[in-house]
Amino acid sequence: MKGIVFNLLEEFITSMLGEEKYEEIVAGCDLKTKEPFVGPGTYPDEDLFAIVGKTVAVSGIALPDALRGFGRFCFPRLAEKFPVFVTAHNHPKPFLKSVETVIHVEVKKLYPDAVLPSFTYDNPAPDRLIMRYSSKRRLCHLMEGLIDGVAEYYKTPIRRRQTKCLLEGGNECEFELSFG
Amino acid sequence: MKEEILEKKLERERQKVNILEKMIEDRTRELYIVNEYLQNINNSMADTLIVVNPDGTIRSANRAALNMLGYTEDELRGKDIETLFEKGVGTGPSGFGRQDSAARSETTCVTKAGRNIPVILSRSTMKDLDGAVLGVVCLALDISERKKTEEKLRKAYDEIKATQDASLSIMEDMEIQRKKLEATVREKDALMSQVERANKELQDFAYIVSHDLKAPLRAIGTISSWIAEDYKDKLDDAGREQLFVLLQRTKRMHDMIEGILQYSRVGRIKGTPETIDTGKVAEQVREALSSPANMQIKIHAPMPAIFIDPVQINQIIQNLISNAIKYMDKPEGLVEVGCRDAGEFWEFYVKDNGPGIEEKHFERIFQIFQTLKARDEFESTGIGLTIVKKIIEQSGGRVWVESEVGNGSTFKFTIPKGTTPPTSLPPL
Repeated sequence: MKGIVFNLLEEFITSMLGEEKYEEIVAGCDLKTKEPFVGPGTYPDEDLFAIVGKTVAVSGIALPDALRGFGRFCFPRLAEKFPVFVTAHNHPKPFLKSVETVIHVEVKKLYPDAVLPSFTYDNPAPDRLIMRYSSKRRLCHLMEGLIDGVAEYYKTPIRRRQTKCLLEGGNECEFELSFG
Repeated sequence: MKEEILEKKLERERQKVNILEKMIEDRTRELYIVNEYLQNINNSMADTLIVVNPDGTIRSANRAALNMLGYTEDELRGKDIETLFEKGVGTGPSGFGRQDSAARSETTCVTKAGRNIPVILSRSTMKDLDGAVLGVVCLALDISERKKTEEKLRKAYDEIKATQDASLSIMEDMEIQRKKLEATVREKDALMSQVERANKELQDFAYIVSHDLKAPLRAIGTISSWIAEDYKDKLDDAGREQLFVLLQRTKRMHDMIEGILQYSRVGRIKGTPETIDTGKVAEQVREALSSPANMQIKIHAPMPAIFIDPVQINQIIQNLISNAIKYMDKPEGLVEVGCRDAGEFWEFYVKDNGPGIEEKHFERIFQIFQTLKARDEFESTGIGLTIVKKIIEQSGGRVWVESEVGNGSTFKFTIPKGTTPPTSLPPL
């Protein structure tokens, strides 16, 4: 996982529980990474899951809610950091469709070692999109939060219905999205 | 407690900075290596590469471009691209960087020394992710050699075209000349027919006239001899003398008419040619002539077999040998007959040790009725050599004489081998 996600997670936990709690959470995790996380670095997924798991335990928030909240927290910050990817569109649908074909391609150019999820799409109607998520990390709740963040950014409501889920034994997560 | 956290956070941030610095260094090094690699590619290119800023000024140029244009990179950087390329190809600062798609055109670039070089200019616009124009990449391919080749080809084409036109003109002229020639040949054929007809008429005329003259002449001769016989007692010496001259002249006239008849027969009557052993003909002539005792006729072997009218070859050899005998002035006369291979011809000769002939008469002796001595002094019609010449020339050969006064004469004549069967000379 890229360091930027660890940094955003630190920011998310700090904003939610405070710095003192974050230090406590990190100190309580037996992280493989000993040095601080920096954005361009790449770190073990286990470290991320350890921090998230400890945060859930300390805060009492349910894991799905924590991940959704983290996704929703991340999106505006990522948009601010990489405006070129979001300003190219004025609607969430084309933006979401560009994640696989544009954003991930550019990420790979900068970080060839990055392990990225994959997305496939169906376009049943102009105001609808079927988006399938596949990743060994199985962070479909994080994706839900990110979709909510996209809706807020473009000020366009997105109703989502999950028809398949990796956590329930599926090969992928499938989301039926309706815009407006 | 808060200070402790802050201290920890600060320490972590310091470590982050150090890690990031290290990362930047590593990335910079990677970038440097990549940049160096790209520069190497750039400078290894045979074609000129010029990168232009959106405002039309030059950002960079590869080594090939610097070599072709004669500028240093510093001189070129910031220079308006329009000053390097001929106007009218859309390279102005206002329009150049805004062209969206790639374009290719043939134009001329101007070197620092002011030399014009024809190039093919390929331009493609560089854009960032937002579509903003970053610059234009220009590739200029020097086509001077191609232009020279094109010019050479054009000149060659023009020359070929000119040659073709000239050839056509010549062919037209030749066609005109051919038609003229055909017309001339037709005219010549017509003339030849006329000449042949006239010749035949002349020969027929000569024959008829000669033949018809012979009868009254014979009558004159007969009556004169009768008068000489019947009135020999009544005539005085002067009368008898005059009658003798009359008889002599009548005989001469008869001989001349006979000569004309023979001469006209050469063209008029055509015998059947056959393979004739010329050695045997010479032998027969020698026997037939029954030459005087002081005359020796030698026939030198080998003599060839030739394909000819037997009467005519006999006439040639007989006339030449009998002439040699007739004019012989030496007490021991010698006539030699022989032949040599002269390539496409057989060259015969009849050589004597007689009086010889002055060079000025070499042509004249072959003319009709021409004699070198007065007829009263030496009786001769002067038609024998004329007949010989006519027969030989009709056979495709020629006749001539080689002589020195006092040392005899050699008459030579040729007969083409084409009319002879391919046999070797038979032994005599």
